[in-house]
Amino acid sequence: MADLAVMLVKVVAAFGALLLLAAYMTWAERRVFALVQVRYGPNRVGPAGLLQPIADGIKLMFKESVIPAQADKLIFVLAPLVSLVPAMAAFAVIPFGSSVTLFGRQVDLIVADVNVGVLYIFALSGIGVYGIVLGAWASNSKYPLLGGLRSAAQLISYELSLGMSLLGVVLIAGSLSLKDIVAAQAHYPFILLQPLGFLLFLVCMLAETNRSPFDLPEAESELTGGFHTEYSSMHFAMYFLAEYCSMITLSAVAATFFLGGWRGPLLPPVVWFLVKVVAFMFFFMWVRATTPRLRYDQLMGFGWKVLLPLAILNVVATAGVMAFLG
Amino acid sequence: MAGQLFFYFLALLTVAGAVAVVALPNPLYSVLSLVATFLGLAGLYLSLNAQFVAVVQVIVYAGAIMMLFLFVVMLINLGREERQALRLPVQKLAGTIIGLGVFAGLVNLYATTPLLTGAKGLFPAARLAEVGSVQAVGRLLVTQYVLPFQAMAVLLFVGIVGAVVLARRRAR
Repeated sequence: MADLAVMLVKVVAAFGALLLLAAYMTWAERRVFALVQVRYGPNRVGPAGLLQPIADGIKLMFKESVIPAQADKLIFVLAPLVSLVPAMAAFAVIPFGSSVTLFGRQVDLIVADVNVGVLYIFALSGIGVYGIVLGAWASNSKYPLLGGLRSAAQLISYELSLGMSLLGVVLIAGSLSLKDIVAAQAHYPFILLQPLGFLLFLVCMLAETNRSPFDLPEAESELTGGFHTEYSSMHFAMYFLAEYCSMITLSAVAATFFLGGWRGPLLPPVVWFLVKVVAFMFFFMWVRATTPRLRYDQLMGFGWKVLLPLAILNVVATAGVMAFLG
Repeated sequence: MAGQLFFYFLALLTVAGAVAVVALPNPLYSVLSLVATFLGLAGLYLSLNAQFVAVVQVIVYAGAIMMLFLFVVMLINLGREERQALRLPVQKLAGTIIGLGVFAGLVNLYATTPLLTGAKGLFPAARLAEVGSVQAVGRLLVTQYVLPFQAMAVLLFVGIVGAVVLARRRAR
């Protein structure tokens, strides 16, 4: 019974924090974007605009949700959920701190230590693609359909390199569990051993979350809004949240695999984890503010002809060195 | 008790999904029902401690293969009339006979072989929890089943080369 209570508290705390962070990342993104362009950004609602995400949330909740007449209503309504739930659930296998003692019992700061944690994240991101494709199809309109097809092609292409770029770390740590991978980085972070893997992951991470310079699925100038063109109100908000949740989860994966997760001197582990995740989120925003969008054929060519061979090379080289060292 | 409830829920999901695949008129709904079936199967693997098989089931079948099906259905996007036109009486008759045949075969198998009390495999759930499911599959793949594993790799490679050749020819 007590175990169940601990589990419930962990789930609620972790996902509450995830949603809160996602909401504030929308604020941070607009502020950072504005700073880069020498503007102020949202600074009216609350001190420094800090209540802006709440105002946005209330506005979205009270807006009417317009469903196109020709849409497949059931799938139209379910698709954003299919996007949001896997994006949030993927966070479950990420250790966000070492264990703490609460009320006399040892509690690991991870929602679920799955021994195939890495694959679990990929499985969920594979399911998340359905949300985008189904939303695009159910809208029964040409811009969403084109955007959705682009999205799906891009996600499937870059998922391969994303997985391959992490394999080097998995080989060195000898485990697919994210907790063991953090434990294996007790002396030094894996970025020192896997610099190529880290760079590949960084690029694929941008593509997997449909972020600039890989944000073709929602290229405004040619596709209006991409797969979510027809969405409004809370249904749109769910897609938006899903995008930010998967950005946070991938940032956390990057921190866990290459920067030692929650490890760090002086500050408490949870704070170190947050610092690393926020640093990656800042990287997302920085890149978006400073790079132009790729062309579609460049995007596919780059993914298949540059990233994937490099990722395979990285895996083979790592495996070779591991075998040589015994 | 909780485990049993879990099993019945997943079994229901798997079977209901499979029935819906053939019963639903819209091909897109059929594809989604098959995804539900695969997810139910993945859940059943999980309850047998075969986490690796479960996750691979989701990545390969639910994630990759069904996405391909979805693409085809979406791009062809059959109207109501075209769907009806494909239903020849001969197809219905042949389908009924084959379906009943397979069902009779399954019933026969269930009635004549001690499926439920037969010899256990090398890796029952308890042993899997001990070895780890990734380690168990990995070790078997590079020892006992190394030849079929390599043959499969060659087969997939031939498939990829074939796809490239076909796509090239079309482009010219």
